[in-house]
Amino acid sequence: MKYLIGFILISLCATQVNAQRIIIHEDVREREEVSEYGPNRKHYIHTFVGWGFIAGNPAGPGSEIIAGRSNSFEAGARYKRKLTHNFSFGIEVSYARNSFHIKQSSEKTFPDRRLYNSQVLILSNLSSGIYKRINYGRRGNYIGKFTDIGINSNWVYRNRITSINYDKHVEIKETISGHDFINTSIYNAFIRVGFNNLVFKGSYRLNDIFESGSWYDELPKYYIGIELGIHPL
Amino acid sequence: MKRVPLLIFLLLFSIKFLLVSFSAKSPYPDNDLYLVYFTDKKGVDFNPYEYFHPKAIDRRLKNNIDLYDITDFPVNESYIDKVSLIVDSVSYATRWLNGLFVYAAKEQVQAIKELDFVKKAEKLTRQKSLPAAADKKSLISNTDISEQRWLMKHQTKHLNGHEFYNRRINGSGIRIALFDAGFPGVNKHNAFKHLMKERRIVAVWDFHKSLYDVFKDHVHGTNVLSAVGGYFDSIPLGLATGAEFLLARTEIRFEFYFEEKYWLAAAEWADKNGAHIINTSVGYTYHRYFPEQMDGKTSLVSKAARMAARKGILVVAAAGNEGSKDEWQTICTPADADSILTVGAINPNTMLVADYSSKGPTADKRKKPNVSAFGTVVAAGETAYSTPSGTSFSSPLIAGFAACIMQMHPDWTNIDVIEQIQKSASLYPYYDYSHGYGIPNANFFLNQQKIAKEPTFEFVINDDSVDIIIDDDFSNINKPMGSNILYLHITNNNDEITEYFVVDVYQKKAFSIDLEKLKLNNKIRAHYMGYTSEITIE
Repeated sequence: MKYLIGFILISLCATQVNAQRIIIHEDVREREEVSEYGPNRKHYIHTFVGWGFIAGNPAGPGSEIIAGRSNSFEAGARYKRKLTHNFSFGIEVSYARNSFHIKQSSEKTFPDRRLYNSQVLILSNLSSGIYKRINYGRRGNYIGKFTDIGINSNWVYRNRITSINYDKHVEIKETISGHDFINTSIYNAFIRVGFNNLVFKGSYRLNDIFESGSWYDELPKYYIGIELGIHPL
Repeated sequence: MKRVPLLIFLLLFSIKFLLVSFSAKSPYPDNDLYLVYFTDKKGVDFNPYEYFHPKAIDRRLKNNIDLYDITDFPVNESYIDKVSLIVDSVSYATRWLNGLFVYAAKEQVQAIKELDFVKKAEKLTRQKSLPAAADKKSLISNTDISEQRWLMKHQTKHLNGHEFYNRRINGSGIRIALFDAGFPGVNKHNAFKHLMKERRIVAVWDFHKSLYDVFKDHVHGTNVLSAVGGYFDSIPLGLATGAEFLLARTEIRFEFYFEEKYWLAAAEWADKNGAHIINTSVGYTYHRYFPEQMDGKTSLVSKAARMAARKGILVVAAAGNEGSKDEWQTICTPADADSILTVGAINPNTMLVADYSSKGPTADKRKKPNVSAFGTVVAAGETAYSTPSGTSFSSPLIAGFAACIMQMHPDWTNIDVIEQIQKSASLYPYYDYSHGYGIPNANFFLNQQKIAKEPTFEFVINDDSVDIIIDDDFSNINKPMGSNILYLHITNNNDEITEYFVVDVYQKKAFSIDLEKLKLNNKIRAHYMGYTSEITIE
């Protein structure tokens, strides 16, 4: 295809320039230069998407979440700087959306004691992080097997609580955003184990979602999920 | 709520995938695979007449190879026993490299290294290989019937292979080994009925499962065999329809294991069983290597291919399908090995290099590919026929072609065959890193007198440029675009090609190069309509 496009372009120009129709041109010297960019080269940038469950127990019964429904989605870009064959470090930026589905029980206190058919707290974050990578095994220009450890900082630029009730099959939906008891800065420590572009990720939230002084029981702090790295060469 | 089952599915799927991926362990012990090299073969007995098939003996005699070459001696059993006491399990002992594949932990490897008869121990990681087909989509491309008819005739005819066929030169008496990912349908498909009926599949071995059954798994090998010696009704799809075959499964569907070890073991097996030719339509690229490691010395499979060549076997390898991928472009391994015949792909529609065909040179600047052939063929699959693309199918076309030459010239060595195939090719003595020496021509071997080509163009040096001017008789200006192709390259002081062009000629002044771009002693070499000439910048 590359040749074909070149052929058409050059054909179009040919009559006006030097009347040559070059179908293929290869400069071998260009390929002799060893690139510094690639999955297992000095520098590399790739994108990723991740999805997983929020896990663990809340600090008290007032903020129980529905396990298996509370989840987090993440999409971002990652830079990797190779130090040695086995060690790298990098930085990453991402958008993350955390959904805490609140269990509707008699002990519930967050965000209030009223019971709904469903209720969810959604946090929209912009995140930046740093990580250290350990790679395993011989490999070529390929990410291969690795373990990452790192931390990230999240700016919660939006929060909202959506409560839904059904009254005779009519959905009554109430959304309130901009709660001031939600922290705008959240920090996580994470670990990732990956095989090339398929990655397992676990993270632990280092601080509370609720502002200090809030009387709510803190929400679960763990996350377990998978991530798909998109690795263009 | 609807997302939950999907999420659980994704998690379970990924867990399963990771288990498969990491575990390469399922059929193997938990430890890594190492190749332990020994220092010597002291005290080992060897009788070549017991070990080798008579064809292997003949090949050695023809190539002046010592029947008692130390690399053919078995590995010292006492060394194997001593290493076995240290490691969890041993896998395969290689005579050629005088080594033993073992599964071992780091501490065990350390203990092995301390043995006085151990030279070194190399860790082999689990890796991924790619059958050299362009992609899965093209494997089942739907070309129309008339196009398929045209293709199945021309896939041998473009080599003038029909001239071999008409003279009943079909690789008879030649033994060809194919290393691939499986050969399903070969024992049932009409395309191979002649092979089964005449018992010309003389040996098979699945190196992954250690079984005498290769007629299953990936259809790639079936496609490849078809392009060496299959039929569509009475139309030959390859040129070695009279040859004998050794079929080895060395590749695995999920491809996370140790294909290079299997390749080496298969090469020794093919050697022992008297193979004259090995066709390898598989290649290894970025999963394990960098382009700058494609030097014919780095990969295990490349070392094995070179050793097979040293044993007089003609190794024919697919160049690879990375030509249009900017991050790789260069040939794969084992196509980078020295003394083997590496084959690039020609697009049947343009008769020029297919854009996916991997390009040379090797990392140490050797000329690869050697020649080219159609990269799209009609090939037998498990039950029907398809039209796959890739250098995988260029390689077997040339393997079949080489078998015919070996039948005609049983006294020629593998190196003779490579040289003569290159000489027969359409561009020879011109060369570029996409086409090699061009498309081999059967008529070269049938009509021994090569007619000297009369000049078709001349170089004209001006004050500021070098022009290539086509002679009047060959300018064919009125022919449609694409009919007249000029090939030219520029070399540096070491006669290494630095740049090359393919130009569609539609006027007398076919090409012009600014003198500013050239240096002293650079050469411009050009080829047009069978004639090659060069000029040196002075």
